[in-house]
Amino acid sequence: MIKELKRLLRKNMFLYIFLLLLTSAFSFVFVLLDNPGKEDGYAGPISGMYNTYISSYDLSYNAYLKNGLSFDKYTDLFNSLSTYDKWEYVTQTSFPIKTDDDVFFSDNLLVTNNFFSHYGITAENFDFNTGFSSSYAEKTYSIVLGSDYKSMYSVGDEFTTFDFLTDEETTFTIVAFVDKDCYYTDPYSKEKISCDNYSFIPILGELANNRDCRDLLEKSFSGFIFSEKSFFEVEKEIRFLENEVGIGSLKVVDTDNTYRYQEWSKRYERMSDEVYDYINKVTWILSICLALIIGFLLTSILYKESYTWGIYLMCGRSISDIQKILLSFVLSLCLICDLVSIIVICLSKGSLICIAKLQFMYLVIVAISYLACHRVLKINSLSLLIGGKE
Amino acid sequence: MSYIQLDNLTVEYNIIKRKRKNTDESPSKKIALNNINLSLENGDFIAIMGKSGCGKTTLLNVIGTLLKPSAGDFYYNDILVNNLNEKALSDYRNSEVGFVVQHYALVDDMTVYDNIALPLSFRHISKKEIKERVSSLLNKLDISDKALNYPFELSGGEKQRVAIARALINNPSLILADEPTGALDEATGKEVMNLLKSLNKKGITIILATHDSDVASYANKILRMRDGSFI
Ligand SMILES: Nc1ncnc2c1ncn2[C@@H]1O[C@H](COP(=O)(O)OP(=O)(O)O)[C@@H](O)[C@H]1O
Ligand SMILES: [Mg+2]
Repeated sequence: MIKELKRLLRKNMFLYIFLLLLTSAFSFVFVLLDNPGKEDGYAGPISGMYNTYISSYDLSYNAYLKNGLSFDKYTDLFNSLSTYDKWEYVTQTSFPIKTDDDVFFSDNLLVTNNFFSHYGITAENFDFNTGFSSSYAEKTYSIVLGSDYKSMYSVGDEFTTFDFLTDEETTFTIVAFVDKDCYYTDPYSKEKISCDNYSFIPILGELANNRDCRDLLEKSFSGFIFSEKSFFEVEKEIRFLENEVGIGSLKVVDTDNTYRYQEWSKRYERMSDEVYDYINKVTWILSICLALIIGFLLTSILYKESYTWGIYLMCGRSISDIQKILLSFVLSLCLICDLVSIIVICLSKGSLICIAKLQFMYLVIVAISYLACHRVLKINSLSLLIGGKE
Repeated sequence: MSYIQLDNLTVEYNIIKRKRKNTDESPSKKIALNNINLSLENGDFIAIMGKSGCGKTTLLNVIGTLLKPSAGDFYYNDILVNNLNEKALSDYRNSEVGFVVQHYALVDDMTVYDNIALPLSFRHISKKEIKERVSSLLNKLDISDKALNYPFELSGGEKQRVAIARALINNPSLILADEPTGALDEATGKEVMNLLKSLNKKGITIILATHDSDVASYANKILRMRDGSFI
C-alpha cells in the first residue's frame, strides 16, 4: 500500500507542489483576513483648556484606603495634586446633606479652595483661603451656602446632620454665603451652573487615619484637573507624582474627549461590524473555493487512476483495499497541506480560531474527495474498463 | 463435479437514465445475461462467440468475480462463489485466475517487470522469489530484453505477451481472455493464440471471448451467444 501511495505521489508531484503553494498562499490570506487590524480610536486633542478627570475608583486604591494602608502616602498624593503648580486641581464631589430641620441640601459639593478661585466665586467679607477649613479630627466643619439660603440662616449658625460620611452626628458651621450670580461650569456638560442653591464643604483639613477620613480621602480624589497641557501630558505628570509618593495608579479619564470618543468609537464599531461581516463572508467564500479546488484536483487525480484501479482489481486487490489507498492518499495530502498551512499561520501570527477553521475545512475536503472517489469507483463499473471492446 | 458451473445465471445492468430526445422511455434495466447454464471441466479451452453486445464480457467478468450476478449460482471447484467475501474473491482473482484483455490493461507508468510482478506485490512474497518468477516468465515469453521498458515502448504483440505473463505469474488454473487479439494484426494475433493454445496444453483452462470465428477456432469447443443466452 505504501508502494502504491508513493507511486501516486510521485506521479502527481507537480499537482502536489501546486496544492502546497495554493494552501500556503491561502492560509496566509486567511490569516490576513482574520486579523483586520483593530485600531484604537482617539479623536485627538482639542484646543483651549483641557480637563482631565481623575478618581480613586480603582480597586486597589479602595482596598488600600479601606484597610488604612499607606494612608500617609495618599494624603501626600492628594496634597501634591492639589498644590501642584502646573494645573488647577478642583475636586467637586456631590453628595446630599440632610439637616435635622429637614432641609435637604441636594446640590452639595465637597471642594478644595481651588474650586472658588478657579471659577471666580466670591463671598462678601470672606477669604476662602483662611476661613474655609475643617477639622476632621474634631468633627467640626465649615460650610458655605448659596445666596438662596440667606433667608433661612445667617453666618455663624450651626446645624447637625446624620448623613455626612457616617451616620454619626456631624456639626456644620455656616461661615459664609456665596455672592449672588456666581457660577461654576460643569466640566462634563460645560453647562454654567448657578451657585445660588448650592452648599460647599471643604476637603482639606487635618486628617486622621480613621475610617471617616479614609472615606473622605477616597471621595476627594475624584476631581478635575484644569491645565493648558494635553491629556497625555497631564496623565504623565499624575503618574510622575504617584511615582514620587510611591503608590498605585489613579484612574485618569480624558473628559474632553470621552464624549467625542464614545460617539466616534460607536461609529467605528458599527463600521467595523460591517467590515467584519464582509471579511467573514470573503473568508468563507475563499474556503469553499479552496475546498472545491482541492477536492476537485484530488478527485480528478483519483479518477484519472481509475483504469489502474481496474487493473489492481483484476490482479487481486479488493475494493476496500483500493478505498484504503484512496483515503490514505487524500489524507496524507491534506495532512501535509494542513501542516504547511499551520506553519504559515503560526509564522504570520494567526489565531487559534484560524487554525481550527482550517482543520474544519480540511476535514470537509477529505470527506468530499473521499466520497467523490467512492462514487467514481462505484459508478465506473470497473469491469467495463478492462473488458474487451470490439 | 465440474470445475466451473453456472446455474441459471442472470446479470442485469441498471441503466443510468440519460435524457435522449428521440427514444421513448427506455427500460431502466438491461438484461446482459439471461439464465445461463454452463459446465466446464478442468483443462477445457472454450470460445464464446457472438456479436458485440451479446454479453461475452459480462460472462467473463462474472467468472472473474469482477461482477456479481443478479441471480443464479456460480460454482468454482464446487465452492459457491456468490457467497464468498471480498477478501476471498480478491484472493481467487489473484491466484486462480489470469486475465488477458483486448487493450492489455497494463499500468502505463510501471515497467514491464513491475507490471508482471503486480499480482505478486499484493501478496507477501520475497523480492528474490518475485525476481525468479518474473525472469523465468520473461524468458519463456521471449520478452526478457524489454523488462525495464515501459508499456508505451512496446508493440501490441509484446504488450499482450506482457499481459499474458502477468496473468501467468501466480500459476493460475484459469485464464479469461476477452478479445485478446482484438487490437492486434493477424500475424501477432496468431502468435498470441498459439501461445494461449500451448498454455492450454499444459493444463490451464481457457475461456476465450471473441467475435472472430478464426480466433475461436483455436478452442476445443465453441459456444455461441445471442442477447445474453447461448444458442
Ligand atoms: N456497466 C454496464 N451498464 C449498463 N449496461 C451494460 C454495462 N456493461 C455492459 N452493458 C450492456 O450489456 C450488454 C452486454 O455487454 P457486454 O458483455 O460488454 O457485451 P460483449 O462483450 O459481448 O460485447 C450490452 O448491451 C451492453 O450495452
Ligand atoms: Mg466485450
